[in-house]
Amino acid sequence: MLRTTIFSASRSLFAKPASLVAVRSYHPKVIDHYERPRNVGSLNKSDPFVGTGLVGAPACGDVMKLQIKVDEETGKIVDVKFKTFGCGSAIASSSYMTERVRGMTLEDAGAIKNTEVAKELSLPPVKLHCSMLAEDAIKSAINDYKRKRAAATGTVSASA
Amino acid sequence: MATASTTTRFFHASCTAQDSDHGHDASTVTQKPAERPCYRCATPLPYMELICTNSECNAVQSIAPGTNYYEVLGMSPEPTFDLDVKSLRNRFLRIQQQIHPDSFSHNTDGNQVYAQQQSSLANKAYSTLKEPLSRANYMLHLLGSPVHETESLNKQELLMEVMEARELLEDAQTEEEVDDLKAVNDGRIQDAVKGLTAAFKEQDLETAKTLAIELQYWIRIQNVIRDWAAGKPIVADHV
Repeated sequence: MLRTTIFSASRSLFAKPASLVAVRSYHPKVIDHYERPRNVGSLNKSDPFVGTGLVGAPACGDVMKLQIKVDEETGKIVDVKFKTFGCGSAIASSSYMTERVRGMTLEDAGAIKNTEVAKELSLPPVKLHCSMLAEDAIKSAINDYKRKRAAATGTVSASA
Repeated sequence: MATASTTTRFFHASCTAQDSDHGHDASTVTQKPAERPCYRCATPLPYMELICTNSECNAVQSIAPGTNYYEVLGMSPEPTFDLDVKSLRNRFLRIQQQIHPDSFSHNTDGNQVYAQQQSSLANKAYSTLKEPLSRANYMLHLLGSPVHETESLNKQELLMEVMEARELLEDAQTEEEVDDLKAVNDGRIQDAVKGLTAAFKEQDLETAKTLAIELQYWIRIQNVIRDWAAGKPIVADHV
């Protein structure tokens, strides 16, 4: 508490508070997803119609989980959740991805490129890997779902 | 890549190193001579000498090209993971005593600029080598096996452990709970550092890289634990 008070007091002495500078470097769309992330949470991992993608960015220590629930009849994604521990761009990328893939077929969802995510969120070059992580996450979730279905229906080919 | 001669692999072009984390890339550097002349009075000096030994000159020397962080701190260029942080600190402090820019604040010739550059390089070298994670990453960089920014990790076992640890931390309500999580995480860090020491000793770069990645995750969790406060949401934990 004391620390907070001192901090905010000293902040007013500077023309450019450190926190503002940091926020300014993020695009408003990133901030929007970061402040109001869409579809945060988890789906039941052992549900036979839920695919889970769990990926990480080793250089920075980010981890991202993206889960899809698929309607077997239509082959479309009916529910999607994510949980990301990482920077604002990684959170925004995965949040955007969940919005994007809802209602899509697996094929369409698997075809989304990280460049689309990066463009939509105006990610700077140093943050491109965050969008790549989101692409890896949805692909990995789709693969997990396919593997599960293949195992359940007795198909031999489990490779995705 | 693995066959590059050891003498040329461990170097960086110091003067231009400011952008990337590890800055110092070997490119045009070849074997270093034992001496180089003082730029002002031409007295021959040991290659890494900071200040001209000629008492009538005493000029602060420019950064010696082609040296890595180990050499900057007065050690052998051979990168080593298992080092005594206390003696590293002593070396660092000794260097800073000699060339701290404040000592040259009234100096109008080149001394001040060179002192600033030397001091800044020593800071970078020390801050990189003193922490096991940055030291491991720097070594992997020097040895030609760095962890790339764009790499993606698919080790499910590790990722699941990380995710679970992060979720436990997110759900923690009391200091006691966090202390327990901290104890577990400190154990993970210790294990990773121990493993890194062995892997680098055996020159097993693949294992070293895997462990450096693990350590990166545990250190991130350590930082979140450090910043933890009851009721404070954990959202983005770095920029």
